[in-house]
Amino acid sequence: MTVKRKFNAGDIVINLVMILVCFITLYPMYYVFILSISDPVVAASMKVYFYPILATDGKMWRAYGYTIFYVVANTLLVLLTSITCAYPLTSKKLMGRKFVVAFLLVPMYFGGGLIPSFLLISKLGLYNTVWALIIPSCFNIWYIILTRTFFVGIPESLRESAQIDGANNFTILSRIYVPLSKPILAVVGIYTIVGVWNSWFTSNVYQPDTSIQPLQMYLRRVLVQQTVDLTKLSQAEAEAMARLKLSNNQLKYSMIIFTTLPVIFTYPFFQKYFVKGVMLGSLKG
Amino acid sequence: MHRSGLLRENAELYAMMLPTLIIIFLFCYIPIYGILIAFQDYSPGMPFFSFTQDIKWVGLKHFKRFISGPFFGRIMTNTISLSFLNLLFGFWPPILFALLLNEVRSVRFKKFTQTASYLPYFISAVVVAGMVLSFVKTDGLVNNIIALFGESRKSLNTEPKAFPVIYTITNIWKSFGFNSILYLSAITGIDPSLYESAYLDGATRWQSMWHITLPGIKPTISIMLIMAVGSLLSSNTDLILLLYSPATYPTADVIGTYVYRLGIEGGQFSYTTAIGLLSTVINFLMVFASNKASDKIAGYSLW
Amino acid sequence: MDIVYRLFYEEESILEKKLWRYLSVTLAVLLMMGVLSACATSPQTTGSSNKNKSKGSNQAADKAGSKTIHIMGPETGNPHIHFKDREKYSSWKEFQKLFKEKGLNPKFEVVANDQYQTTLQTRMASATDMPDFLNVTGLGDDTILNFVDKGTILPVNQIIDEHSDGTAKQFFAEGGKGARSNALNAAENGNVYWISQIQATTYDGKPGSTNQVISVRKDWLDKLNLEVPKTADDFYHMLKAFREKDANGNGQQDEVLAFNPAAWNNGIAQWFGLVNEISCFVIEDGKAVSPWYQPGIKDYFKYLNKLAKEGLMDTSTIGGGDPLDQVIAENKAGAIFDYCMQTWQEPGTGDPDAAYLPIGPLKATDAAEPILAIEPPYLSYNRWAFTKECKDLDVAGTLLDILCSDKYMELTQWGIEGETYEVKDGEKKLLPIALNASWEQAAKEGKEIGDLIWANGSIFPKRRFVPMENEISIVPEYKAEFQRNIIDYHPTTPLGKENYFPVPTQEQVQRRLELNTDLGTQSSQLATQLILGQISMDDWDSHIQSLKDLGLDEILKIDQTLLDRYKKNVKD
Repeated sequence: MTVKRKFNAGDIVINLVMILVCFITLYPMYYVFILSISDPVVAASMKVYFYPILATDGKMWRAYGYTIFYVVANTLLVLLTSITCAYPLTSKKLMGRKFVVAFLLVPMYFGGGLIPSFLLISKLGLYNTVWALIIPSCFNIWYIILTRTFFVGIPESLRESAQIDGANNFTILSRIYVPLSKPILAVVGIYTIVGVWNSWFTSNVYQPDTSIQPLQMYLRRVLVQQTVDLTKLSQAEAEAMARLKLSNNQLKYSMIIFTTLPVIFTYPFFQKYFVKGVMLGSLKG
Repeated sequence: MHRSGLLRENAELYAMMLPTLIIIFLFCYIPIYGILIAFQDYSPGMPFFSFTQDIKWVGLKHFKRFISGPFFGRIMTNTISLSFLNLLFGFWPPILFALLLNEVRSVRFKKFTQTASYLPYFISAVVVAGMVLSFVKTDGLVNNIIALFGESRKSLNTEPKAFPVIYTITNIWKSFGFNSILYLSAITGIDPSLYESAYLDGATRWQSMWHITLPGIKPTISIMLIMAVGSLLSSNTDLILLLYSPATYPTADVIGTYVYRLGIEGGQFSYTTAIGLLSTVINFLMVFASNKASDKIAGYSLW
Repeated sequence: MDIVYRLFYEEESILEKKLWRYLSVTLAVLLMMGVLSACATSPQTTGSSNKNKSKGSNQAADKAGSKTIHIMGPETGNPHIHFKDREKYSSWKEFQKLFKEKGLNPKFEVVANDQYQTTLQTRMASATDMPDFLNVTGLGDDTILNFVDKGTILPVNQIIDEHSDGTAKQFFAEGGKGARSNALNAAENGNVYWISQIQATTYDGKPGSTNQVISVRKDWLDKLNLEVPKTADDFYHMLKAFREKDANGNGQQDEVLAFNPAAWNNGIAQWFGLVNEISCFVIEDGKAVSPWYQPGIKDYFKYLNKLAKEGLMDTSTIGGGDPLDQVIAENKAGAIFDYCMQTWQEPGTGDPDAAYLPIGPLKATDAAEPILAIEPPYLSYNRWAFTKECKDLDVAGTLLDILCSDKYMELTQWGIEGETYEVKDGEKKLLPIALNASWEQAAKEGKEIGDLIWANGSIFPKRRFVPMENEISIVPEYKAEFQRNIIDYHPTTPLGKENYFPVPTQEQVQRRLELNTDLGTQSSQLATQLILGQISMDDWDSHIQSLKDLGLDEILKIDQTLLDRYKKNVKD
């Protein structure tokens, strides 16, 4: 708030509400944490929580590295595609606007399924490469719509005065719209980072080679969640599965910590883009 | 503007969009022929579209099968009502939270609360479901509270009537923090001078909130609402799968979980594709309708 | 107060800003390290990606005189023993000699275990880059029959007839060790399109195997001076006693029966004479029945209803999975359902005295005899097949010969004498390194039986012919005693009826697919609601009718047809 008000009753109410929010989000976490500690087997070896770090077999760090690559590449590309598609849609002079919008909207709801996509990816030679996780996901239609909605909020007068000064659309986009859209770009950035970080399905299908797989694939494999029906296996197999399950149950908490911590840490870096007064001064002159 | 100016303008704009549009065409439209299997008796290995090899075209057979199925009514009802509950009770918390958070004075407290609020989003559904189930079972936390009030304990996780409540609350709890990020960013786009002039006119913070902030994020709210209506036939299937059991099928079985159990049987690609196609068509129509409504009522639309 | 004010209401100080900057720099450095380490460790991508680009015949002679065969399969699910590391195991080196002798050069494509199903389906569905020989277990019945129809999968019996040197032929012929497996894999037209893993157990020279029953906490019985339950009623009283007397000693009455009542295969249903699937059969009877039609069904629901009402059953375990594991892990399970000789549940409770004693089958109703759910003595499961990519059928025949040879069986099941097994009193016995899941040590020393390296549902099928005495000797005596006493029990029902069903026809498969989901939904819902007392047994007839409407009788008829075909083809 740029307005400085006196501390009043409203503040107390708001702060109480926030405390309540913290309570309902953190208490269940705490409850589960306590429960997991009370499990004697787990308590005996607190190292369970840090297992993935202890597993310094190199594979995890490689997966980590590739994940960073996928995250960075995807985020940059998604931001790029979002702004380049959103901007034209805000222009009233765009011919065939309705057509473009329809073109964008249909894939949000209709898809061909796994096999056709698989065939396409193989034909393009992307199967079993890092690019399978980058090129098909370099865009996101929902983010294009979000960005466009934000762009619409930027006053037309800015564009008009720039055009009078002889700027072309590319300049307008990069010099005017992008700097003013930091909040929405921050949101798109966060959403993409989180999405890519948590993704594993695409890799599951298109990357049989384990050395280029992202972190989630690796963790799922190590802390594999077996939902195998033990009563359908032979005793020898049931025993092997059960032993695997025992160790995995304990490790699932470490999985939470390990996978979520990095993503939670990225948010503070974006918070500064949510600063008020982004528009301030843009209209002057 | 002269004709050539218009053309040049469009040339620039399309040049900007073209790479992305091409990629969208490549990865979204080319595989779309996969939808055809909803009208065939498909089995892996068969071609999707060919004049030479034999494909079994069956028209609307799979759709008819789904609609005349014994559980169709219940599945649709559950899907729609769970989505509706989620909309009714889950749509506004992120907005309200963003509005209130925006008013918090202490930057440190604000950041702390915000981080805490989206923590649940990152916890995997498996852990969340396990936690919820342990809360609602007969000797769990919720029942302990109920017992304190003198009521008898009930096994809530097997009670069909309780399921919608449990699911909705869990779903909202898990996502409200993360969803509020968008609204927070929208709030920062509001011109601060509006607040200043309102303050000078003697407006309270609540009045500012109602007359400036809320209208300021109307576009965002509108498109989020349109999209929410457009997911009427979708649900958080993963969460339901973890929370439900045969005892709660009557209120918990939705399209997603039904399709999941079909998938376990194996085969039936055509059938499940047909069901999926039916859902997305209806969702698409809903988006269309709500977009038109939003256009007429509030003047905001997706395009 | 002043401190609170400063803590909460001041803007971030310069120090804090510096701190965040410091943190962000550290994080950025860590990320860079991550990326660098990714580049440094050279990935093994080139080999497999090249393989994916190559199409056409893989039969080209590699080295002089040796022929290649492209084999695909999933990596083992074992955390320490991987097929990728096969070169370091002595048993593998011996196995390779078998290939060299026959002039075969196998090229392996190993896909991670959790990805194999997806890879299998997509590769086979798109018919791109199919290997010559692969594990096709993940393909459903209708998919695989469709492939058979189109000729994508080759008939194994023809390969054996025309290209085997006799070893495979003998193995699968009548009297051979694989005869029964072959008969089970026969499609209705008489051809066999895949081979399976075989596990046959004997006891005292005759076919015999283990079973799944309810086990109770022996240490709690001893602690509370209770007798081992002999009837279902005793069992009920035992559960009550556990609860009321706080058997796990934590001050709360939370001791329960931990099992999944939504499944028919839960131990207690079998006390009431019920089979363990919605459609199954009693082996001695040979007739396909449904628990819904059996005489003990109503008493079964009454009994479980009683357990549920009195809180002796934890309702969060309906459906099994994590909640079930949780109850056991919290040391609340007074009774569980598992293999009678299992030893892996006790460590999970965290209680060092925990001991699960198998019991039963207990007499529960006058309407029916209790039955025992046994693991079929002859298990034939999972599938391996040749695709049409395999052009040189001689190579295929040779591979089959290798897989049916005695040497292969020995390496897979026993490993290397002196390293993984020894011969005592003329009998083979596994050495400790190959038992008791000492996988980490085995991986370090490179000594392991073949089963864990290349078989057991991954690259190659296993053949395991075990005398049960081996397994019985390593479990605690009270479990061993139970197993020995129960070995001849009748009547029995199989765990996994597929072991008694030959390959169905496409119509049967289709019909089953169409009916199973809805029927299963209604059946599990009805059963659960009856157990929990949410619906009444007074409407029994309408309940049964709803199942009939969904095709229960038709499913039974299909199963009966298959069962009859089995009895005709396989002479027991």
